[in-house]
Amino acid sequence: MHVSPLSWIALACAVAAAVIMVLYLVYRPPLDTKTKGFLALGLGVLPIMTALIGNVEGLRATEQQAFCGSCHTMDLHIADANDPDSMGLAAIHSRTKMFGDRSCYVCHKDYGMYGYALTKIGGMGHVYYFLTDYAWEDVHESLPRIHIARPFRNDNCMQCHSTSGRIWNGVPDHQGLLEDLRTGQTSCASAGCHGYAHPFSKPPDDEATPAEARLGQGVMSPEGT
Amino acid sequence: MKPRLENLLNTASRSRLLVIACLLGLVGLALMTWSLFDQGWIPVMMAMSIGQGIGTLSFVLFLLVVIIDLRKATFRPSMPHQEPIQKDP
Repeated sequence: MHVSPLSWIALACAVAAAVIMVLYLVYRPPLDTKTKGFLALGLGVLPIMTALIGNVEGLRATEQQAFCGSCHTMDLHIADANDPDSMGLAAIHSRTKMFGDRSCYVCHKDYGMYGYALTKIGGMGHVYYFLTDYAWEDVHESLPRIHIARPFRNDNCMQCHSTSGRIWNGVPDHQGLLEDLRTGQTSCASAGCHGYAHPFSKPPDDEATPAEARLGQGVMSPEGT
Repeated sequence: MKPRLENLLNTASRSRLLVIACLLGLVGLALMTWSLFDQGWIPVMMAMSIGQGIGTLSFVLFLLVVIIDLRKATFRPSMPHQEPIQKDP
């Protein structure tokens, strides 16, 4: 467990506020200006500091792989991403420093202008589905039903792979599909190209999962699950 | 709504309000602090929703006490304006 210096400051504020509140509860001093000044600190300023730092730390925590993995439905995805022998896209990227312990977020976040907020709203959707459905299932039961909310966008891959470099354009398949790749018509993470990001979650015969069949997307869904 | 608020401001016990505020504040702080050390989805979401909600309610109760005090306070009227004394030439 890593606790940042900011968290220690938040803890100090929380402890100071708690001391003020407990002292008030124990001694019940007269409500003069001095008492109210202390209570303003203990009920206002210090808890607000704790909440603000808690927000910063909490939002930072939501970018960590451990946070995504704290729902049991993601156990297999996290295990695969951290498997040194796995050759899935998620695992290959997770081994690099830039992705590392933030690999889920770096790949799945929305990179638009309001990307951060939209990513968090999407995350609330995950919480809703977890609480109303998947929480009560074993991970192996829910695996065939889990699917990405919308097809994975090549734009996310293109945050690093610009599609304009000489080496990249030297690959014949890239040259032939350049426009399709840039517009998202063909997914980088599909069976015929770089493979699924989480290949373990795909049926061995490469058929559509029940979720994909429901969506009418077939195996063209880039990640599938 | 307004008459009920008026009634609350006129009759509420300040010390009881502060006791409730302190108890709520302690619960809110506990939830907020939990998320600093355990960053799973349950503590983080509890801190950023229920914890902060309870903390805000506690602060609102404190502000209510301050408003009650201000309503009961008697302010000394400002000194009336005095015309400058004309000196005889």
